[in-house]
Amino acid sequence: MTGGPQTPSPATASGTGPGIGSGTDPALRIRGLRKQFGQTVAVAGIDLDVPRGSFYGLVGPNGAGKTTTLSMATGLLRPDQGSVHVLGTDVWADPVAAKARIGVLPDGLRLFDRLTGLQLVVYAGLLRGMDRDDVVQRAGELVAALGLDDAADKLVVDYSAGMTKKVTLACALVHGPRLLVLDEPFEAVDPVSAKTIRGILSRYVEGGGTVVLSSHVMDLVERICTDVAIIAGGHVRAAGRLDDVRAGASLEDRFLDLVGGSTDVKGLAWLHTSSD
Amino acid sequence: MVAHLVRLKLLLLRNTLRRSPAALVGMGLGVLYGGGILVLVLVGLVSLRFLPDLEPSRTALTLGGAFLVLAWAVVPVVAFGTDPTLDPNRFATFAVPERQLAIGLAAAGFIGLPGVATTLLVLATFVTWSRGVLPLLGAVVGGALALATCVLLSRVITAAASTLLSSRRGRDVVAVLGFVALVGLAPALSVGGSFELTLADLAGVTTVVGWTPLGWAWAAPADLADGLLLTGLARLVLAGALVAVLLLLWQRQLVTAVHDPRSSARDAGATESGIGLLGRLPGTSLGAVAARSAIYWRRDPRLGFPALITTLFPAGLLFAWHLGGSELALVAMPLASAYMLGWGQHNDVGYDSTAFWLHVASAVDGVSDRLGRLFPSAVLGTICLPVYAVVGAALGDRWDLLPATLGAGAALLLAGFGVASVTSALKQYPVPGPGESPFRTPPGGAGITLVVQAVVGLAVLLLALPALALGALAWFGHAWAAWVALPVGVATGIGAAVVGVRVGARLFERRMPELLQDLVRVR
Repeated sequence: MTGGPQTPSPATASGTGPGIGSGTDPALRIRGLRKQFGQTVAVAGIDLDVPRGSFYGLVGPNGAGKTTTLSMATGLLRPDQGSVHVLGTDVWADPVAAKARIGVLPDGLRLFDRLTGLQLVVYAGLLRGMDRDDVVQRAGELVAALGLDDAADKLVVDYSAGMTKKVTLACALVHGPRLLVLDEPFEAVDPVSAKTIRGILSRYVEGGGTVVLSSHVMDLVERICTDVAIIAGGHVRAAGRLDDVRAGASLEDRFLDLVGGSTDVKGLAWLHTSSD
Repeated sequence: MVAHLVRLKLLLLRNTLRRSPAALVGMGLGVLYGGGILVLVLVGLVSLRFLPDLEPSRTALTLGGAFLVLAWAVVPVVAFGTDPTLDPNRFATFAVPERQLAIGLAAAGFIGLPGVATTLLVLATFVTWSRGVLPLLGAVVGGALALATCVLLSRVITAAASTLLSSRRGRDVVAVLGFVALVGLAPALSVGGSFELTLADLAGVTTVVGWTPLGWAWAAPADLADGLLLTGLARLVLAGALVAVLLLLWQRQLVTAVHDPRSSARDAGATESGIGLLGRLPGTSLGAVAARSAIYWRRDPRLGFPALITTLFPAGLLFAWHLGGSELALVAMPLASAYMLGWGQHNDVGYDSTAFWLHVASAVDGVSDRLGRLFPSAVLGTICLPVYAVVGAALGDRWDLLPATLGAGAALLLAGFGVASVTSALKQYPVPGPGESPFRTPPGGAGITLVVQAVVGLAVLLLALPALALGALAWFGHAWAAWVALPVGVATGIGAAVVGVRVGARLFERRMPELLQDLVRVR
């Protein structure tokens, strides 16, 4: 590969063609997924179908079970009940095959941050059993495409929050997965970097890949996603094509309708006094 | 504010114990371990009161007290670490006056088993010195000062040590100092060891220690009981000044930590161009894990400092040989090295913290993970074991034992690798998180650590038993056993390592998500 930085297209690692048309299974199929921590039910039986080639947004209030659902979908957290299939492969019955097709960006977990940015991306690729020359080339391109050139030789521990997100995204992309699962990919990311990431993700979807991301920024989800699911209290409240879920209103209004909760603020009068 | 911080610490401790049964068990074990010894010492302190002679009390309390202070200073650095729940960095955003924060955090250091035990000991010295009003007063004042010295000294020393270790240069300095201390101590000890210690010498030692900062507060009541009013007062004044100086140092360290919370325990601005070791080891997942482990041992003080201690510690047996002239110490040197290096990584996944998700998400295969992690220990082992074995054989002129020590050492090292491969796939106990000081142990962690290490160490010894037994035979003069120990040790070691890595790999592949959840929970 010569020329400027390129975004790796999906499925180049596995050698099979792009996702669309090479099967009828959805990119991600979740059935009856359930997880309980002690007395707290985090996910209370979720069904979800993510079509191939879709840009799927998962929205919900804090504590809705988004992270728990995505962790179980990517093989990081064992569900109490239910099944997860990625492109027809059962994640919990055949984790090795399923995980080879998924790229993950988790939220709230650490990185091996004593490595430099470039080392971390190379490490992620090598862990996947890829050829080293291939990994090094892809890592270089990813780092360039994400605007991390200057920081490639710095330790990840010295990165800002936004840079950390970007280098994690590079780790998720390096093996050319066919499904990308991103937990809060735009949190703490500045507008310029957010645009870069959006561009990369859009091209990834155009190339036949599937993206699932969680967010609580409604505007953003409305702007970039083709499909959306609203999750609250461990249940799916609505799911489907963006326009169907919106049903004429804005996503935010629809979300507040479904999730409930008053937006009136009572009290706090003292906060508005300017006297000292 | 001070009471507030102490209450906060109590609350944090209670919630930790409520959330983690393991921490509760650890604490219970700590009470059992230490409680028996403590009761004996307390009884001893009370019975000293009823001796007609003053000297035993003076000697026991001055030396014992100085030892206690020393323990508070040294133990957190070399063994268990301090409790991180009240990390000064966490108070960076609150407007707490510095002096009060310093006193409050130091006072909170008493909450915990060592603090309770030390306080009980000091209370018991009040009984020892209840021979009169003046000695009792001296004991109360001296005891309070001694307690303050203990807590402040441990804080000041761990803070200084972690600042030193947080930079690459600091770690090099510590390593060099360690070597210099080893080299320099040997001749000093050989001089010191040449005369016998008598009871009269003990009195002399007591006099000297009583005038060091470690002994000021403890020696004062004895002077007062002896009627040496001025001497006693002088010691108390010195002890008070020591506390003031320590408080000042601690406060200054706090201010640095609070004003620049990011500066603690990190290698600021380190860079490396290219992919370093990741490009030099084989380009497989095994090679990648090995390279990453090695990079971490170099860059992360939580791994580098224990590695340094493990590497240098066996050399300490040279002193035992120097003092006692026993060749057994020389023989034990390579064995201690192999033993410590072998199962040193039994909790290795714990040090990844939640960064371990990358391994889970990549579905890395178990054998690559297990073997790759052992790479740094294997490198150190292949250097340390032969070097210590040859040095020991040369110094003691016991070349006949060399095959035995090499064989038994190989058995210990490889069996340790096998055991570590299994345990680090089973369950991880809490360790300091990345970027935290290596001298920190989560509450209850010390008790668990002791139990796990006892069990793991015993397993290694059992697996290496055939080679150790042959080595013992060789030591007792059966020359043939030395040559049998070599192949037997290597064979049993390889067998244990292969089985351990296989079993560990299977466990690891099955339990990866559970391991990650353990790490998420203790974070």
